[in-house]
Amino acid sequence: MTEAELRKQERMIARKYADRFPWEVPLWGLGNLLIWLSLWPLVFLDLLPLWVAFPIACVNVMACFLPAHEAVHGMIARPGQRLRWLNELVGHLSLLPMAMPYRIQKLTHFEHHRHVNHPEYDPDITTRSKGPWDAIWQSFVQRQRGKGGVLRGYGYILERIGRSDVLVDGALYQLTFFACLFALAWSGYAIEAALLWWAPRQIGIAYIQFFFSWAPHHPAVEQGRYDNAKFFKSRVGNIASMGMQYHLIHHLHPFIPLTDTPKAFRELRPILEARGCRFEGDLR
Amino acid sequence: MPALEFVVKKILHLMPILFGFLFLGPLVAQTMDRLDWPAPLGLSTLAFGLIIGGSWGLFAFFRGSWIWARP
Repeated sequence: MTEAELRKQERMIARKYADRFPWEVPLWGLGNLLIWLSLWPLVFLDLLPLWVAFPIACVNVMACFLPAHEAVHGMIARPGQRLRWLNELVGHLSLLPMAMPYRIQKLTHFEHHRHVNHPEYDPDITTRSKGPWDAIWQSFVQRQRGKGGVLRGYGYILERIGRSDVLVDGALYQLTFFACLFALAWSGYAIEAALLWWAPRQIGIAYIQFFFSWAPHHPAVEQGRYDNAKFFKSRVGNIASMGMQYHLIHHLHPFIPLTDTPKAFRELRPILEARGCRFEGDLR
Repeated sequence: MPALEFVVKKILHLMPILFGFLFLGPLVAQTMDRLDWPAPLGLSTLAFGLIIGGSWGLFAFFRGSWIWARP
């Protein structure tokens, strides 16, 4: 097939998956938030033991990112469409367990798409590391303030694109998050605050950075359209690896809903092979 | 609002110290209380927690890291 034929066929297949309303995204994002919020009264009223609530809270933080990511790409509704309000609502609310502002996530994620693996311009390049254990360690190291402040990487990117105004969201989210922790701690609920929010957030962010950023891009060097991410077979399966085995499909066609990327991958596979994409393991 | 921005930046700058005293301190104390561990040297668990949490917070503030390694 010629270059033009490959491109045409790829676009035709991708378009088939792009127009579905992803009903699972608002359900997932808002449902996950409700479960996490319900843990608080259940634990405070002694209806649920803390040791049961803690792993659930960890899963809530791990699961809160993807619905917001779908919203970032306007998967529920694009600007100007009738349900755009729902798209933005899901984006803002689903990230609450992670205490991450949606506007910062949106702007920096678009920069990630524009400059995948670029050593200066990709905001997620900080997850680059030698191997899986180093990736987990680096997730914690890179979150340290160092000499440049906590939002160091994202702050730099936002300043570069002239949107440092949204750093206000980051400051307000941080102040609110810490104020909640302090208030709970001095009301006698420090352990509950630690195990329902603070620790799940730390663990959840490491998990998200590992599967969403490190695993599909490692070694995070190539910057071409077809080689800036890879297809890989995860030992923990597709759901536990956040569906990121097919992450390159998302980079090629960001309007395909996450849950449709495996189907799109199977149909696009001959084209992806012709394009010289990277495949690790027997991914089907 | 330069005054508000100044205050917010100052608070965030001092957050490791605040976190050490205002969160880790009570967290250590309440964990010890729940496990029925007495504080050493006749201290209350809260005083002991504030010493541990506050010291760690001060370390994190000056080092720029809670875990020694930093970016």
